[in-house]
Amino acid sequence: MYKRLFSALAVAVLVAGACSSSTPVKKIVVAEWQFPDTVNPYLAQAETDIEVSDSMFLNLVDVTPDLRTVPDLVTSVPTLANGGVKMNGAGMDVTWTLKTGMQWSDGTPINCDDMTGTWKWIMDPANTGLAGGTVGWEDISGITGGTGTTCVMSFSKVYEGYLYLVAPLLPAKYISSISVADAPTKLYPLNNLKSGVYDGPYIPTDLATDSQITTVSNAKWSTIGGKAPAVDQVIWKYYADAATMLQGYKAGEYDVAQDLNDADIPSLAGIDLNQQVIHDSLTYELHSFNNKSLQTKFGADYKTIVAAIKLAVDRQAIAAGPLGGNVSVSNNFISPLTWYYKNEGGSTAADPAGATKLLTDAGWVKGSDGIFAKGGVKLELQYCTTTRQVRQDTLKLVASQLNAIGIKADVNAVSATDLFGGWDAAKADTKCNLVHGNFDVAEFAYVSPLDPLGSYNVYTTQGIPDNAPHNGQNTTRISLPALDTAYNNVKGSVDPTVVKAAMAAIQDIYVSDQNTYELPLYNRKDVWLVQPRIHNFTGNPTTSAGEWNIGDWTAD
Amino acid sequence: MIKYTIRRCIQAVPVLILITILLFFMMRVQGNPVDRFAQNPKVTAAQIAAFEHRWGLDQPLPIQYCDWIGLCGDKPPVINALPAAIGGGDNGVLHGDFGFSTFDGRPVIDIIAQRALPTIILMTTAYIIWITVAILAGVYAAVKRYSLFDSGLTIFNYVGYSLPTFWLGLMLITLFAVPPLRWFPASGMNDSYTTPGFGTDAYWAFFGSNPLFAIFDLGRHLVLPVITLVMVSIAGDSRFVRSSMLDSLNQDYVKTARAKGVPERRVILRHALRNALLPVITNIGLELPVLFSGAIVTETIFAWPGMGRQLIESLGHADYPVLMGVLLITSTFVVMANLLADIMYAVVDPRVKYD
Repeated sequence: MYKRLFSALAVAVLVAGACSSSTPVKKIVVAEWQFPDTVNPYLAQAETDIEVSDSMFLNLVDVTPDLRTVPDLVTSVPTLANGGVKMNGAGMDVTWTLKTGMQWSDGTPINCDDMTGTWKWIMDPANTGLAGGTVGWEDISGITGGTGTTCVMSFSKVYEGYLYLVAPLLPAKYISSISVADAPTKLYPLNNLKSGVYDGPYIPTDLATDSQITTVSNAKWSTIGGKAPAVDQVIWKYYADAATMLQGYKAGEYDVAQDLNDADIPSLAGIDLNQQVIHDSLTYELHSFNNKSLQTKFGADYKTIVAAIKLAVDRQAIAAGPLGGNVSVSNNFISPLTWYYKNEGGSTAADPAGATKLLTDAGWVKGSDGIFAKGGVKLELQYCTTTRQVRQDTLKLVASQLNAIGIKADVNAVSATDLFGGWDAAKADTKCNLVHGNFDVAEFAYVSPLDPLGSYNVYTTQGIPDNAPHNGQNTTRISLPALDTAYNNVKGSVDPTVVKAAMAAIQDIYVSDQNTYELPLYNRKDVWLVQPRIHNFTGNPTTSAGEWNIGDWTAD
Repeated sequence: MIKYTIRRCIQAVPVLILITILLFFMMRVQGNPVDRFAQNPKVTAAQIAAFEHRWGLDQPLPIQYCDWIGLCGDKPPVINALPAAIGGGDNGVLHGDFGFSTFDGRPVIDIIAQRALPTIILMTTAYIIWITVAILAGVYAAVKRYSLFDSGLTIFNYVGYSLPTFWLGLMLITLFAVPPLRWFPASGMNDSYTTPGFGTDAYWAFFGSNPLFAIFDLGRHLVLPVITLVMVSIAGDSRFVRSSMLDSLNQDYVKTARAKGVPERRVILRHALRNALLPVITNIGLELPVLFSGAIVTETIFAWPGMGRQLIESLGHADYPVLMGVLLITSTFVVMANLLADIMYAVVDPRVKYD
């Protein structure tokens, strides 16, 4: 009796399962391996935050996969050349012309009041947790345009980064309905995303923590061609790490895999090549030289030592070895895709004989252990990196390359928290900590800046973290007047010719003997997996990642 | 028994208070939520100070604790601890307010509520299976000592106990979730193409209209993580049951029962097993809190959105309000599980009296 009942129930469940598995609406499932902590673009810090936020909000301008700036919510990109930017005394006026007829998801029109509201919201002293701070916004003296769509943003001084400052507009009516102090808990709250107001192609309806965010097409949104999103729902599925996310792809659990890189390429075996989208990343791996510690150890010879190391390190062997031939060696920290890139040429081949000659010419003599020494000081360096396996493998290879010419490299692998911990977060004597300068050479990655000013704090004297408020990123402690001047020229101009010339000067210094601060190793890769039924996916090296055109994606 | 239970509950209060004090100070010394802005050059010191002020992180630690527990607040200390209905405050754990996550701004109680059900579903399913199988296998191995089954179980236990959970989980996914077999899903609690995210309003609406499909879908997603948990958990308990049962089978009262001609089945189930289960109950009782605290590695591998993952994520973000909430509730479970084990003692063993 019970057996029959059980069998009947099991059959019913199976039949119900089979019958209910049809999909009545067109869906795309996108996977990530980190759950976002906010969809508010101004609080977003992690890549996963920005990815999902990008599908819910429109930027004034977008950046294409080949790094061209194109209009999105506006009709044209304002520049000096087209009259969109006008110098005004010591400051400047930027005219943003919004597309007419655009609406927020609650039906209110998008206009210049939203731009004013966004500016005032960001500058409100009660606002906390802004990932981008108030840089640039604090230079705005006023925004005119009211309920119209021609908005003039006046800056009290020249701000070179104006194009990417408003990313994106926030709805003035919605943000004014919640006190600014309560923004972290009540504005676009994760436990009630539906209460938010959006203007992107997809708006959220449900969120299951660490599992899934469901978004549906925004009826108020349209493509440049006037079409609504071609897909009814985009579902964000979240895994706990990249390895299990890849297994999920192989199991057919989703359509698009996000946030993968060159380290994941070996795990792609068994996945059709036509489902792999692999692009050069804006991220590059580098060796960072601590000028302060090297100078303390080796005096004036530290420049010769850095030059010798740069010759001795065989970057092509690194690319072919630990990186499995999946990356390309570079001589520049600027992406070739940027408009201000200067091809400096130069060889990427190692020259160990040249390195040895540099050191012997400087009076360094090899001891019985085969290591150079001078004045009782042995040529021994502390190399630091994170526990990431590929980095440890790279440093082991580098140590053997340096040892072959007489430089002893001690490899230290520490946690990312110890390596990157901030001035107050990490104790002053934390081994390998970059900010406190407890390293000789460190391997990690930087993102090649899209905005020329993006590297200002990394290479200027002002960015040395020994100086208060200790939040600068110049952990090499490099201080070159020529570099400072060039960066200040970039900071003070919106004229592309001036900026490009200043950035060329910076790249000239980078490939010259004056560069005692950095050795670029290789450009990393951005990797996506895309099922064949998805169309119009292009990928994008910026933080917008693949979602920059998510409204244009279609699915069979 | 009732007096005993009440006395134990009252004794638990200072224990829990002590736990909250220790946990709070350990958590706050461990990390600071503002660390995430440490290397962001665009965030000024003034903005960091504003963030600290917003979350009360600029207060001395004892004041932060006092606010968190609910002794301090808008009302004078102590009075604030009273229920709001009689003029007390409304903040802090004492008033059911666990605060907000400093990481994503959600109420802690919402986060815990959303995480608890997935963990309870996963762990209860696994727990029932592993305890049942462990008792049955342990008893049978003891009765059939040195048999092929006993030797097989011993080998299985050693292998299961030695297997790293992450490796076993990944192997199960590789074997049963990806082609060619693809028998079970690799991750999550629901099929994203067909079912709304588990626990959302949409999910429960879907569940209401398609209960059989929803249960079937959830069941499929449970298979691999449950097998993983059972494989690694069964070893310890079945060895424990076997050992306890062997002790019991060698007791004089068992020999007497056999000498009196009591059927073997009755000797094993009524005389030996009931006594052998006494220490087992303690062990099982102490394992109960895992039903709430979850399994970090298994939840991570199978992308199961449970309490274990929340704990490890909050630890990474120094999100101490969430950590405190989870750990406080887990501690309460541990205290309650101990109490339950003691009560079960009396139920199983008639010699034990608490009154």
